[in-house]
Amino acid sequence: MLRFVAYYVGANLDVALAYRAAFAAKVFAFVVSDAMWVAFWWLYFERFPSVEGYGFRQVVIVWAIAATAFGMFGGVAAGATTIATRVARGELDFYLVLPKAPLLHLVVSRMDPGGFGDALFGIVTFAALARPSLEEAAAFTVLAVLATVIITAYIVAVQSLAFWTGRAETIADQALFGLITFATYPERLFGGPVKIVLFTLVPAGFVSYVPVRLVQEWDWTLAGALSTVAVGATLASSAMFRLGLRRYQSGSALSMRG
Amino acid sequence: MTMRDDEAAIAVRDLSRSFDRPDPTVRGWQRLVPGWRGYRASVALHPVNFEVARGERVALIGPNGAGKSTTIKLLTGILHPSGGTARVLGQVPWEDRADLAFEIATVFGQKSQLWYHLPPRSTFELLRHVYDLEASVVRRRVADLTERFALGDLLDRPVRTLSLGERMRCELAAALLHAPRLAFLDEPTIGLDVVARQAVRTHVREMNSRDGTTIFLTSHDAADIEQVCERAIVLQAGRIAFDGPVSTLRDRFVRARSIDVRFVDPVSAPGTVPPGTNLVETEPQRWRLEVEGASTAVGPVVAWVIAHGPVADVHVADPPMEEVIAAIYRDTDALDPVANLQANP
Repeated sequence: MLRFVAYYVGANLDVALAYRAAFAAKVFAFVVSDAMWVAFWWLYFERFPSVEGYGFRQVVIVWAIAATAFGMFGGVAAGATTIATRVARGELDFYLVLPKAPLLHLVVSRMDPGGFGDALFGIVTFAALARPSLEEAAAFTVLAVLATVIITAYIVAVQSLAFWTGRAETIADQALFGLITFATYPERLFGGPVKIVLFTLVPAGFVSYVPVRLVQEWDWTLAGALSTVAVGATLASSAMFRLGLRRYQSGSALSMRG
Repeated sequence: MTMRDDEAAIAVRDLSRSFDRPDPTVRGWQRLVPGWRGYRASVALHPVNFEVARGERVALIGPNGAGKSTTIKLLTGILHPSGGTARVLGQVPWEDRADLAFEIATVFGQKSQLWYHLPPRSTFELLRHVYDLEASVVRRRVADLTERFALGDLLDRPVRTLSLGERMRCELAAALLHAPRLAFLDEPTIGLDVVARQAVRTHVREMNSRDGTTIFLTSHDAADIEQVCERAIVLQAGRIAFDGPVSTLRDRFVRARSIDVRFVDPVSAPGTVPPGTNLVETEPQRWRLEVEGASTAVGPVVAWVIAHGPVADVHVADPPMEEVIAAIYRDTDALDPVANLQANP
């Protein structure tokens, strides 16, 4: 399976590099966009050194984890963001007539070049501004992968709503933007019912807050719980996709693979 | 008599499929009211039964919306049926889809499986990973397919730069990479020019004769059916209206055969013609007649013509398959499912 995914990532990169200037421009734009936010926080903490116990280093870790996870999601699993559109247009046929698991195949079938910008920004920022210890760096790597898995599972689940609703592109886009937004703010800004939402409907808590806590202070129980969430979310979203496939209505639109 | 389902390449039993379609009588706002469904079931395929033997070449034909693509999508596991069952190479497609995928190939003329911005070789390499094939096996097959489909330098050109015909040759080669036992071809010649269409037909026939691949093809192109397939199944509004040899299809739906006669010397027009015959054109040295239906014998008509004077040339022609199919599409009354099934049990 890993060889299949690796081959796909390589081929997607070839496709992206077919238009090298566009690829470079998008990577650069994402790096600049992320950097502007961190610059904003840097200016903010110059004036107010602490927000609810958060300092600049914590915010850097928040951004580094989120950017790296969303970057890896974009670089490897951006196909997940196309599920709703393809379901609505009846374009899953290609994946259904091949022996590889259609969800895996669909998820890795697209790459967002901007993901490279995000991931590059996240890793460099973490290394340069958070100045992590070796243990923190190791934890960061593992946690970024877990966060990527949770993001992918969440997006697959939301996009798969299209099997039942017919169209789910708008709600799926909002879900992704909501997750990005909440995952890049300090956890302590939110409390009460909002926090419940952030660990359920918009799982920014598992994508960002828990990983940030673990990078700063490793806890095997919490890490185990996060891993369980990642596995559970993957199984649940896969089951939802499989269930949805029973309702799939193929289409006859002309289509080419990008 | 039916063959055992696990012996047939395809065995279909009471297979049906309905879709939910928006009810045109329900207004947009009414769909928001709970209990007001706004959709109604539309039958794409009524319960149908047929079998395809291994190594057979079968065309599934019918007008747009007759249920051809739905049938192929059910048989490849893309769709789940509303009722009935099917076995393809002994497996239930929608339950054993992944296993079945190793055994079948699916080519949709309107849907490319090649990477648009990359050369076909990249897709072949991807398919190697998809079908878990050894690199050495793929190298051998690609070399063989390159020769058979005259792919040559096409393999290394981005797909976006290929012509439709070149692309379709690459699509067929990609579909054969894993040596499938059954190929579903959904309008494989659509949009191709005459030469490319001819090449695709040749390749498909060769897939069958050389590799023993069972061919199940849909097409609106009469020549695809006539030149590639030995048997046709006609779908009309989701029902099988005809199932038999392609030659029988022509006999069954032939309305008239034409006889062109050229006389050595000018002859006068006849007063009467034999029963079941119409004189369509008369010139001093040339007549054109139409003999109605497939049952009227042509021989006595030709003898009657010769009796009118020395004949330089006679040409008897069936209507082209194009006209036969057009007649089938136009005339639903011509298709009596019960009668046809009785005629071709």
